[in-house]
Amino acid sequence: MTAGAPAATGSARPRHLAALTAATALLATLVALVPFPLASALSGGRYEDLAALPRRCHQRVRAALGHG
Amino acid sequence: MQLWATGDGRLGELSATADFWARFHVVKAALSTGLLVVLCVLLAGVWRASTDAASRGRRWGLALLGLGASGLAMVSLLVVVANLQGAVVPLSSVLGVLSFADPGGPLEPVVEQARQVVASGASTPAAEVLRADFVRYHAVMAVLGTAVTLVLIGGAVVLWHRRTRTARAQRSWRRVHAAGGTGLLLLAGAFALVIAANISTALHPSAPLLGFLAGGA
Repeated sequence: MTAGAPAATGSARPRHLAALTAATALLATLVALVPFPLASALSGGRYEDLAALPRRCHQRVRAALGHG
Repeated sequence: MQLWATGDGRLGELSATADFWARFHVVKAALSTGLLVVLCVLLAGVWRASTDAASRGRRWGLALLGLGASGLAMVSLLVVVANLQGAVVPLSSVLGVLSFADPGGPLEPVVEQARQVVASGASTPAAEVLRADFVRYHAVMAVLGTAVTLVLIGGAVVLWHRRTRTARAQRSWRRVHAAGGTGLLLLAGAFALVIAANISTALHPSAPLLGFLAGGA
């Protein structure tokens, strides 16, 4: 790969990189925040957060064992 | 002990939590794959721009952005692979999380019962499901790791090929290609170690499964 044409792309490149950086920040935030609530919504809202998962799972196991 | 010792192999309602966990991993894998793709495009642009930068300050600024984006891309790759593994084999994945998330909590006896059944070597339907799932968990990582390693090696070959085609006068651009190719090869080497460890665990799962249920792996 050889060098491009900086004079032609000089004004477009910073905007392009800024847009990509913003998209990266947005996607990183989505990766951190969205999966649990979205998966919970897809499961009928039965799991509020990660801390609730063991409690919820325990209730299900106890119910399956006939102790619930 | 009932669930693991006398169950019918369907693990009762625990499978519902595993289904939820699979959805969670699918969503996270999809989002992190998008993040990885955007990061790869960003990296190509940032390193190109850093070699063309007019001032030293701008060059160093872009190089720092490139290093940060490279680190984030590596983390994203690990997140993609780990979440694909969790999506394909959610039961072992969620059991591992539960044993960590609930030390001394209400679910600890369930995990402890599973550990006792596995340690006893009992061949109950539920324990066999657990063992088979654990083997699949590591086999899937070995397959995913192999695919990633091949892609990384392919990427390194492309970068080294581009370096040889770049004019010698463009020293910065040649250095970027060489560093990128070397980095990808090092990452491929790390993945090769992960593949070896997962194949070993899949072939000899008993002791690692006990450690896993004890929250140690």
